[in-house]
Amino acid sequence: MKPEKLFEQSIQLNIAYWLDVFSKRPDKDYGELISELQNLLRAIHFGISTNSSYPKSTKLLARLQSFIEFSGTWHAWIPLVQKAIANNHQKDKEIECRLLNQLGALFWLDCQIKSALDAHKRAAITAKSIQNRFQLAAAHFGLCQDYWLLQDYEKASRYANNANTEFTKLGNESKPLGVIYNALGIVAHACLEYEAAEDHFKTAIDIHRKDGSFIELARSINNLAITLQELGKYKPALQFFSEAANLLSKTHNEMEKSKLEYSRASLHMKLGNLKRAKSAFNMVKTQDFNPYANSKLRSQINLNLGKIDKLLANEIIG
Amino acid sequence: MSSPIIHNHETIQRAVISALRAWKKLDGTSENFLEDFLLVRKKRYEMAQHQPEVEFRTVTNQILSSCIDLLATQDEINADILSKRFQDGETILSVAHQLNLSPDQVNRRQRQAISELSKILYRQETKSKQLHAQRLESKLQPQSYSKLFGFNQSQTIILERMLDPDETWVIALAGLGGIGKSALADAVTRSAIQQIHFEEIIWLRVNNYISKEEPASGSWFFEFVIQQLASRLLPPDTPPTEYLEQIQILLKKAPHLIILDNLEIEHSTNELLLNLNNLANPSKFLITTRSRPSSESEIFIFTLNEISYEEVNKLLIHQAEIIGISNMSEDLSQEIKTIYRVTGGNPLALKLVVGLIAVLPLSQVLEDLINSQTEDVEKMYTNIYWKAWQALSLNSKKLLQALPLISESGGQLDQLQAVSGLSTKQVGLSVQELVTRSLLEMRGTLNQRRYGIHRLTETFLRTEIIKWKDGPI
Repeated sequence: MKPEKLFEQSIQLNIAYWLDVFSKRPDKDYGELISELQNLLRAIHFGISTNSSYPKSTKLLARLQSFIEFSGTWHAWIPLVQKAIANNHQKDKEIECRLLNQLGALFWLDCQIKSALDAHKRAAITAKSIQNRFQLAAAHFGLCQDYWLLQDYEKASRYANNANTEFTKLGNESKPLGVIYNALGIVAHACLEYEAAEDHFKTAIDIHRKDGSFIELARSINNLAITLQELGKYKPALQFFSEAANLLSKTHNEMEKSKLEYSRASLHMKLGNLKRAKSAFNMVKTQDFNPYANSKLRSQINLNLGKIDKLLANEIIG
Repeated sequence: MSSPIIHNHETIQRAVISALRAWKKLDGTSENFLEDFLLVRKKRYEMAQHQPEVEFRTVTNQILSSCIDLLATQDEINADILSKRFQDGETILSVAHQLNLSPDQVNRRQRQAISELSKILYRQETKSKQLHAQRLESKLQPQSYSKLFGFNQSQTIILERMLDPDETWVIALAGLGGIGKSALADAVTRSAIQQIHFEEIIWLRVNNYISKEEPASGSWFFEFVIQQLASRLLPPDTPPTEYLEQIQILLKKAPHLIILDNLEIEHSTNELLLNLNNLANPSKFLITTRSRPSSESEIFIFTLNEISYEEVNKLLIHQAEIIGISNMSEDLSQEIKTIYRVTGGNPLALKLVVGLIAVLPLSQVLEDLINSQTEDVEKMYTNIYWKAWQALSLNSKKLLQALPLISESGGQLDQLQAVSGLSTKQVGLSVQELVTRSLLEMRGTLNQRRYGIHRLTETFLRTEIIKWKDGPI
């Protein structure tokens, strides 16, 4: 066989190898795979550039989404997903909307909301055109998250309900339902409907505990803790924060860690545990957490740290 | 970050007393701000990212406070005395009265407390330095060389330039492919890390990201550098329009070392270097490049030449030992002049030649090399690679052609097996063969062995063997 053909075969074998590695590994064990990031980027780079490997490479890309979130490396993957969309020479619509949904999710994680919204809208149009209900529901879920971040809760709520209805009808995969309940929870929380939010988050947690979705579980537990805090249920809120922190400590997702520590610190502050609050706020600010805390979060932290210092000074004087 | 100071107990204690006494003063000296301590410089850097207006005294006091908190876990009264005396500014008499001690006792305990506090600070500082060095080293790829030959002097010169706080902000290592530019940059960077000089180290492998379609102008490269730095240094919600300004602020605030590995800057070099110079100070840029930048640019250019005749001998013997043909060392030494003439003292070429000698008669290898001798280094490599390729077993060819799929961090044995389609036994033998021929490099640790190929090997495979048309990742 000519080396060129042999190499094409190696590309296919490489994609099959990584699909196998990821099919055997639960989300929580991704830590060991962080050192493989560059090899994975290469696998996809070559895979999506070769017609014979293209479909399986896009499957691998989809399979890698949890890993991408776990490793906090969405920035590095955005150009590859864009290239995968451009290389869809067969114009496979199903692949196209899957990739668009993934691109939207990566943009969302990267806080590029306009680009996320654009990708999700395109995904929804493509999914509708081929009547792919799963991808349409996924696009609606993405749109729900985008609008939530844009504080358009009416639209966010509408898309969350659409996605929920569709996913429930499809009913064969639990993970999307878990993330949908989480989305319903954040929308309810944003609309100050804390009891409803609590119910949604609890449902999401139940689902994720069963399906082993690691990051999603941590995210929903964190959200539940925040909601319980609003309802004055401080003790269970602290317990849930600890559980989520424990789950996230195994990951490299510094953004989720920052968000969690920030929420936990706010609760400590509310409870008057000023030193613990201070140490938790400082934790968000320093070390590995630092580059991932967004500017709004950072200014809020500085404000809170100032308040704490003042309260601590008053305590000493008092 | 200035050069490290070797702290002894006496100097630390003097600095601690000075810092405690200055607790309420906003201005101060390098000593009473504890500026020699990495702990303080790091904290300043961290806080400045979010509170640009933060006072130096606040930072120093925070460090001292946390050390006093630690002291409290050992000796609560002594910690209390320090807090009252320096944080609250109370007199000895007042503290003595509050703690039911005599003024002499308070004085004695205060001296004891300062001594203990100095020890705590020293421990914290040592720990901080270790963690700092570990963190920065973890950002480098595993070493691809077991020993460097002929670079001792070069290493000293470049390290001096790198650590010099006053001049040379951009350093270029120029030289032919395979001459060892990246290995030297790696070795110097590792030495600099141990000196605790840089706050951050970022290694950008330029050829990993540029596609063939992109025009490689100076402004394109600069934009590439800014985007890469932004993705590593700035919060993700930073608008792209602010990248340059924010990066400039960070790089001006604390010394970062940015390595641009394999930068091919034949066009618009001056424009790029001018831009890098504007970002530098106190941060530095270390560039490895095949083409020597123009002398108009304000940079320190270090040209890596082929290694000397004596070093060639040492390298050949070392390499022969590594691949298990040390019995041929004598023959090699006798032919060293010929080998030196045809490879020009180029380390990678020398290693490849030793690899060939492991399987082919020395006379045949030398004859072939003499016949295909060329002034063009790229052609020389292609010739040597072709000879090495032709001398490989079928299974090793099968494995080698697949290795552009493995990144520079290397792949594990099971991935090598998967991509080659070979059995466990076959892949083991092929790995051994390729390592012996210097076509495969062992990386990683003893517990987690990884394998990868040199960039020139990858270029040969892409252009000559698999004929890959798409640009590199």
